[in-house]
Amino acid sequence: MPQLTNLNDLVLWLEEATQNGSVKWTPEEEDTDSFSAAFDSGTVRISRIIVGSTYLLEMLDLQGRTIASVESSRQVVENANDHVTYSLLERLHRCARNQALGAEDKMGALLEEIRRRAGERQT
Amino acid sequence: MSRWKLIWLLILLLAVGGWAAGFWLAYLHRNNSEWANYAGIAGLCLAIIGFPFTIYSLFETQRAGREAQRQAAEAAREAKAAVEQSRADTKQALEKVALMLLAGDLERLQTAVNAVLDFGDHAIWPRALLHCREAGALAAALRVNPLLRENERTMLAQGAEALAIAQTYITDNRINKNTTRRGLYRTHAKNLQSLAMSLTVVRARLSAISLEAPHAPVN
Repeated sequence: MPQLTNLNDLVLWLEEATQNGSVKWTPEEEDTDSFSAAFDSGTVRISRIIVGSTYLLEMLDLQGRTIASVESSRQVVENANDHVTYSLLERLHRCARNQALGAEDKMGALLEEIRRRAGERQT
Repeated sequence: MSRWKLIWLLILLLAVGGWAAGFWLAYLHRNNSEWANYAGIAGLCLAIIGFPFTIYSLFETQRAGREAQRQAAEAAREAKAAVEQSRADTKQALEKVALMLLAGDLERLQTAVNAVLDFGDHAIWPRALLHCREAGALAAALRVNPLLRENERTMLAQGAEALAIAQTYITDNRINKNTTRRGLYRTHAKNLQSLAMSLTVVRARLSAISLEAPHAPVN
C-alpha cells in the first residue's frame, strides 16, 4: 500500500479546511475513536488505536478501499525518534475529534452556564 | 590402645623409674658422699634443659589453639556462604515460578482476546462479551505485576481500557441491537489484534528469561 509522502502539507490543509468549516468530520461508529471526512473523490479517515497509542491516517477511494495510509505509534517515536509524524497525526486527530463531537461548542456552552450560575449566586 | 600411646607410657614409666632411682641414691648418700652433689647438679641440668621444653610446649599449645580458632572461623564462613547460596537458589527458583505463573496468565489473556475476535467474527456476541469481560479483568489485574517492564504494564493498561470500551460497544451495538452483523468495528478489532501481538512479544521475552542459565554462585 502506498504511503503518504507529503504528510505535513496534507495535515495542514485538512486542519485549515476543518477550521474554516469546508471539511466536515463525522464519527465512524459509536464508541470508536475514528473520524472520517468525505470528499467528492474519496474519504480521509483518522483513527486512534488505544493499545500502543497508535494514530492511523488513511485515504480511501469511493468504494471504501484504502489507497494510502500512514501510521505512527509511541513505540515508533521511541525507536526511530520520529516525533514529527506522531505529533502531526495526534494534532489532526484532536482537530477532527473536536469538530466531529462539537467539543469546543459544547464546552463553551457548559463553561458559560457555569459562569452564569456562579454569577447568580454572587448577586 | 594405640602404638604411640604405648610408647609414651613406656617413656613415662622409665622417667618415673629413673627419677625414683636417682632420688633413692641421693637420699642414701646425702651426708657422706659426692653422690648428693652429683644428684644436685643433675637436677639443675634437668631443670635448665626442661625449662625451654616447657615454654616450647606452652607456645605449641597456644599455636594449636590459634589454628583451631582459624579453622573454626573458616568453617563458619563456609557455612554462611552455603546458607547465602541456598537462599539465592531459593529466591531464583521462586522468581522462575512467578515468571511461569505470569506467563500462564498472559496466555489466558491472549486466548480470551483471540476468543473475542473469533466469536465476533462468527457473530456469537454473548460469548464474545463473556470473553471480553474475562480479558478485561485479567488485563486490569496483570498491569500492576512487578515482573513486567514499564512499557508492558502500559500496554496492559491500554489493553484493559480498550477491552472495557469494546465491552460497551458489543453490548450497545451488537447485543442490544440483536444484530447478526459479523466482526467488531475496525478500530476495536485493531485494538485487540494489537494487544494480542504485544502479548506474544511479552510471552516470548518471559520464555527466554526462564530458559536462561542460573545465576553465578554467591561468593
